[in-house]
Amino acid sequence: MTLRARILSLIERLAGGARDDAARDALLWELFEHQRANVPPYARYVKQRLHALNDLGDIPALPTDAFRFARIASRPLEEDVLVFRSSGTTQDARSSHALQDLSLYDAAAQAAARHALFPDRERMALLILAPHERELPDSSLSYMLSRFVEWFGDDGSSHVWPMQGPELERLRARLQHAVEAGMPVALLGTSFAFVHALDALQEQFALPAGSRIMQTGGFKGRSREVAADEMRTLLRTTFGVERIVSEYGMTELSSQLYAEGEHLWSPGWTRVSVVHPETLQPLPHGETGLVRIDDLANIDSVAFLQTADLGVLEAGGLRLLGRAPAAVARGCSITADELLGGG
Amino acid sequence: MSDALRELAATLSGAGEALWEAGGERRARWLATAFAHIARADSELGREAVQVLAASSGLSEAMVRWALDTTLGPLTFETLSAIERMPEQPGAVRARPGRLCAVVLAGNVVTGAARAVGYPLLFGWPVLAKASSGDDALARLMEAALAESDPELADAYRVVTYASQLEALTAVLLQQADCVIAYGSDESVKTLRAQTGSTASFVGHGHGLGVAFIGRDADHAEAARALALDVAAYDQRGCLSPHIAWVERGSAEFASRVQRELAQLAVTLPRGRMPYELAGAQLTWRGVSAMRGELFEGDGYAVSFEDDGPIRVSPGFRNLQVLGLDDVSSLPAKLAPLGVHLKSLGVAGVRDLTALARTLPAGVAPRVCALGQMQTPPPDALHDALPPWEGLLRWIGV
Repeated sequence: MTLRARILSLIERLAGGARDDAARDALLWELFEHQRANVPPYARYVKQRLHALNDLGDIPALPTDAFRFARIASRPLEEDVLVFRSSGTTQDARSSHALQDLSLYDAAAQAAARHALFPDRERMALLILAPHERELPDSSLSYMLSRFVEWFGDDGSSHVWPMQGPELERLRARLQHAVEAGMPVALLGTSFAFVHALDALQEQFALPAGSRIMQTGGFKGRSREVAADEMRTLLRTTFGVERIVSEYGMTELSSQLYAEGEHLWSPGWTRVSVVHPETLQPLPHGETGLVRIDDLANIDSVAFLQTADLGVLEAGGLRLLGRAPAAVARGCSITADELLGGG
Repeated sequence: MSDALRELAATLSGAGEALWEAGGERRARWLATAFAHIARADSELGREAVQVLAASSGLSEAMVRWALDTTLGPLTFETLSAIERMPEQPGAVRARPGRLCAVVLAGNVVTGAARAVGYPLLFGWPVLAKASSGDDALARLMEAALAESDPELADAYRVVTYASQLEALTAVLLQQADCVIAYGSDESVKTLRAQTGSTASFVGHGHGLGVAFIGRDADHAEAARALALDVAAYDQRGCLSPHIAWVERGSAEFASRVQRELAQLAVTLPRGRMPYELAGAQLTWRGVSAMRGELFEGDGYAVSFEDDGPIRVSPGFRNLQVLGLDDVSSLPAKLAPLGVHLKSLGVAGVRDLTALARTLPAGVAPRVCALGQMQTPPPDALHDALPPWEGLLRWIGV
């Protein structure tokens, strides 16, 4: 049985939210050896960064920024079936994550969403407040949401985008129809799309019981910024929905984490830790550091990823504290993003 | 609060007459005496300066001492009076300064207030400086030192700070000024420019960085030592700080040399504390460096080497990218993307700096200097390609 098949089998086994950390860790060890042998930039990175190898935390985690500067892939370019790119204003500033096989991505995304978003319903109406994958074929979010429609959506599902003009009116009509018909809906989209919707709709809906909302991502200057607590309150008030789930994902990852409160649930095929930003040593529960995610579904790139997000592990899971700002008290000195015109 | 600010501006404007009548020599002496007082290691104010500036900036005390010596030390009576006499306009006399010069200070270089505030005062402008509340130390120390140096002139300078929620007050402040000198991010400078009155002069100093070039004839040992000092100064947080060094026909050996020099400086000029939030950016920067090339790191510093590659601005705090370069003729194209943000170009192994300067592409106008001097421009040096009196002088044609 190949490594890919064994990882797929584990994901399927843990799909209901179960955990088997011993099995996960054994596969992570195996994946590390595979990737250090087959992903050249990671091999160089490991050569310089590996000092000891006593436990999984010793495996060098590649900064997600590395995907902006090198092809992080174990297989040749001609085998790519899809390349996800992060949002950004210039090509140089965007991360690229090449996938040569979507089976693990799909299995991970489906299993995690089934557990965190749709444990109670086989299918329902999904209203996607984000561009369709046809419009943004290199967006991992658009890809994932389009798959959600296939896996969990019924005939009443559709993309509603952009949040203005006729599409906004279509959203209003869909919401009114759901209220009148007593048919629950799931609204899924980016935080800035929800802000645009909230600002434009200017009315309240009492969506039927069973309705839910999934929001993801930040604002990135595309709408006004709204604090997380205020956002939840606004969403509850406007849509009459109790169940609001936050999704945490990124272009460089193949798996997603979800939170219904302030703590993120991580699927059993991922390993989440928090490390000290200078020593990279794992931090105990309760101490703030940088979030590291080891993701078995990242089989064709690198599974061991160091994010620039601050977080703290608590009894309920990972509490995310946001992106570590690169421009703290920098005055007139410049940051990379500013120079590249991104940010 | 707005009324208090207007009243303060009016009081300062009222002190302008005495400041102008005092003449350039007296103003130069006033300033030089105050700077010398703050820089003196054995004075009470000098000791306080080191402690207060280290606490507010996060730099080590040794680094602050170095910064005070190299910034305030050269601002002597002779130098300042020479600068005050320097601008000339044939067939014209200097007009009296306007009502008020508003100086908006950035928070990243502890000694930034010295010239930012000192030069307008030198040219006879009353100054109202706006500093951020956690970063007003030198501006405040100057208030005390100037009052002691020449009490009759001291009323021409004040510092204000206010909470970020009260930023709207800045617009009020700027409306009282006939000259505005602003330091900070491009975004802040843009905002301040828009708030400045249409008849006022405006001089903005936005985002910036420095880079270095080491020619094939350079003495690598000497160049590495000098470059390490430029990197270590102000913990690489200033807008003149070098982030990238191109080495003609370079190899990893030069990067390793710089790393060893930074190790020495970690003892004599220790790095200050790194904000937790920035450590993540450093981790990312170093990680990508290790993946792309070779990384030479130590406790509080790192130098990367790549034969070639995209420039990657470091998060500061003594992280330098060294890149190879086949020939000096390729340098202008490497610098072009940096545009107006390039404020300092330190070089070694280049005989004719003027000839090198002439090759720089449109829009790129850094100060070109020898390595080791990137962070210590002389008092009369151009700043952002402008003379120190930019915006401060008007002339009456006769």
